[in-house]
Amino acid sequence: MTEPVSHPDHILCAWGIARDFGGVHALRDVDLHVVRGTITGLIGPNGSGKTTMFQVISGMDQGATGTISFDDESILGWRPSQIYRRGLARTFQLSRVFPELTVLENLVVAGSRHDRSVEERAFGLLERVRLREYAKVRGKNLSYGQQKLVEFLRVLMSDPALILLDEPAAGVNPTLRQTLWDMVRHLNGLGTTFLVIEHNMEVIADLCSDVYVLSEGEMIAHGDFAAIRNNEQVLEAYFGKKRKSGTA
Amino acid sequence: MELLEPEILLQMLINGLLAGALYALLAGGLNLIFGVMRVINIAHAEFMLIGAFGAYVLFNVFGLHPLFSLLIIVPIIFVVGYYFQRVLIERVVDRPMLTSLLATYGVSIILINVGLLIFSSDFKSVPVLQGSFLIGDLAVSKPRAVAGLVSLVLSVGVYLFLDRTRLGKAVRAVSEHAQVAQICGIDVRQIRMLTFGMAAAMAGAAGVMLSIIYSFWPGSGVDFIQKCFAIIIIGGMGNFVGALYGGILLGVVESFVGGFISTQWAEAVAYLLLVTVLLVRPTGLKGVARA
Amino acid sequence: MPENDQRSISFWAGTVLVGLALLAPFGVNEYYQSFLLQVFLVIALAQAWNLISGMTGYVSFGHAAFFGVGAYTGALFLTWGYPWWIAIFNGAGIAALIAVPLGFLTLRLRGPYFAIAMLGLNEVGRIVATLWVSVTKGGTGLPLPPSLLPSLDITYFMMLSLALGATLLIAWVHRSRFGLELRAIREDEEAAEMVGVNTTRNKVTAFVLSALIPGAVGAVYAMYTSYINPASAFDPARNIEMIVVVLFGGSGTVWGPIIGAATVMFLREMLWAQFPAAHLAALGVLLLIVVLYLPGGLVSIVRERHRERPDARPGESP
Repeated sequence: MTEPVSHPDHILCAWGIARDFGGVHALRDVDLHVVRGTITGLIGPNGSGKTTMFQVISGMDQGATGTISFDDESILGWRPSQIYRRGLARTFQLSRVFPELTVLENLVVAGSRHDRSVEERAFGLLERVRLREYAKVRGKNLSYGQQKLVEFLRVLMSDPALILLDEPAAGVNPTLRQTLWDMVRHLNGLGTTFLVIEHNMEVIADLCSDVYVLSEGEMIAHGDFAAIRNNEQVLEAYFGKKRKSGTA
Repeated sequence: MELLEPEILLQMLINGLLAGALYALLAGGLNLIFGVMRVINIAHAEFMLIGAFGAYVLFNVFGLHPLFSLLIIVPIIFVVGYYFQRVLIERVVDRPMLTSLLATYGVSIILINVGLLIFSSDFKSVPVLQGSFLIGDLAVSKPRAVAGLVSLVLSVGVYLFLDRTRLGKAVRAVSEHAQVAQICGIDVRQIRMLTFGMAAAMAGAAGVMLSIIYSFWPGSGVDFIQKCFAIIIIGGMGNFVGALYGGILLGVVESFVGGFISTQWAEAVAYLLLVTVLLVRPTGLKGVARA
Repeated sequence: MPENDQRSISFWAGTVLVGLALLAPFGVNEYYQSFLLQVFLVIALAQAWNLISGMTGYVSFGHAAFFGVGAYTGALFLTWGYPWWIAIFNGAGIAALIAVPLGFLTLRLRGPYFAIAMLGLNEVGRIVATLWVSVTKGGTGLPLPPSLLPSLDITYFMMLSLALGATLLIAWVHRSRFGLELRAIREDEEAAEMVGVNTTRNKVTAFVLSALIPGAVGAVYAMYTSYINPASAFDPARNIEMIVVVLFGGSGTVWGPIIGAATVMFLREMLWAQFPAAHLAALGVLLLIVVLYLPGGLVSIVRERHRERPDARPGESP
């Protein structure tokens, strides 16, 4: 096991994270380190605990044990809003745009309370993805893909250092999907770190320098994509036990 | 302390159990509705009062004993509940829970005030039974004993219906998973109407029983709905059997608090329990799948 | 209709109404002055409820309790010889003081559970007022000697200020960052917290403000009626009116509660004297109509016509 010492290159360090749901171990002694400036992937079969891990890191799920430090500060037990204001943002798997608020309001509410130019910032972001003309449209009137995009822009309002993306491209049409990944790459170039849950392995291979694999609540592998794709345990987790016994 | 003498304790226990059986019948209906359609029916206690005033009218106009009026009132309230579901609740059942809460709140306001227009705010009662059964040193008030036992029998009857019959199993299936039940060919709409009818009938029966023990007026529902909320939250929301246990528990606790402290505090017990349970387990209430 | 036009119409309509209300005492008899005073009372209470329930989405079934607390506090301070403005100030203060811990506790509960927990609050207030005889004189109530009371004109202007103040507060909240955060909480509380909104602090603030106003209104009410008892201070009808006025007029809006209050008071004037129960039953019917057919309230009828302007929703590009 890794010693709980923080490394200057690590923006996020989680050690020994465990989460029980009434006897079911959703997460067991999970370690995860995100290196500053990377796009790190978090993959694993359905139900392996990826989203639970996000819930715990973002402060949404307060029932976990272990230690989490973000930028050398222990954040376990903080309110989600505190964590967000500290510079760690996340998006949801299913769009959680505020349906009755306009697109502009959706962004402004996520911006800094003390920033006078918060609206300008919002317009700037909308401009970048060519959604400016939608500023006054209510969230519920957007297409699903647009909603996911707005949700992504929303967390950018606070200029976070680390963004957790939970399947950001799921249910989004190919054009918007491209816009989204381009944006991720662009921001990464400017220094934003990402931790991404994604099922599309091509995207992971393309974007991520570092990949973690969860299976049944345990971190079973970690490394670059090439190493992961040839890892016996990972293949087993994805394709079942047959390889090991060699019979089936 | 003479209060600690075994006969007195036993007396309190029996009184509590009997009152609790009535609560159980009432709260069981409320929980049945919640379980099947995730609707909190604030007007539930007013359905109870329809039963109570029904018994009052039948007694005063036709001299009918409440135990007989039961046979008339329960089917009528069943039909009322059935159509009430069809006309009103079906429209709000798929909307957010607060919508149905406000709708049934509106119904409750209407029923209370129409009741006031008809019956005024004077307290009414149906004094058919007097005196007590003497069992050794124990004296159990006759109206309480009858009301408690009838309520118990009815609750057990509903339980057996849910547990043993095909239709009852369909009700439970909808309660556990409406979509799956629908796929399995159960007419969910029909089940909802049946459920509301049945729950209203249980409330009505509880009302008839109430009429022989307590005096009541059109505004009496507030206390009872509060108790019902406490009961279903203790017993697990949507859990029918839980409501029966919860009702009996509340009856017993009230009886002891009334005996040891004061009857005014006994009235507050339900509210205190309700708030405490809600605060201790704000999200993890048993049986609440999705709020 | 462009936003600026709407805003200036609101502004001028508001100015005219306030002007008329200020002049009314010089032009109408005491009966109508009394009636207007009660309209202001309902507006102020409705705006208070609007803040926590309309804008934040936490439906309170027990808000009249804060009115009762304010009424008793105000009456007591008057009988202890303090001037009327201190009595009002304390009415608001005590109500807010109770709301702080209560808000922290109950606002942890989501939607329907909060509603259930609040349902009995007004009743609890009534019971406490009845049992705490040493302070409240129990069921006999508190008569206020006329020598201690401000004149009807002062009471009138106090109530008008409260209605106006509550309305301006709502108008300000509507346009402020605070209001935006409250609306985000109403839409999706978890997502709001996730984008940096401290949901607890916001909810409790809204709750305390929405208790403070009824507290002050209650104190003025005690001066207006010069006698209160548990049944009048903690009247369940007031609870019902608060809710129906806001929902019928249009919850979460500035004008909704004003329009709702005018409607409900008109109904009350027609029915109350003969049949108070009929008035309340009518409110129940209004509530059902709103819930079933008009979720946005009366205000939404006017507004829907102007909402989806051509520039508000460009054609979706594929």
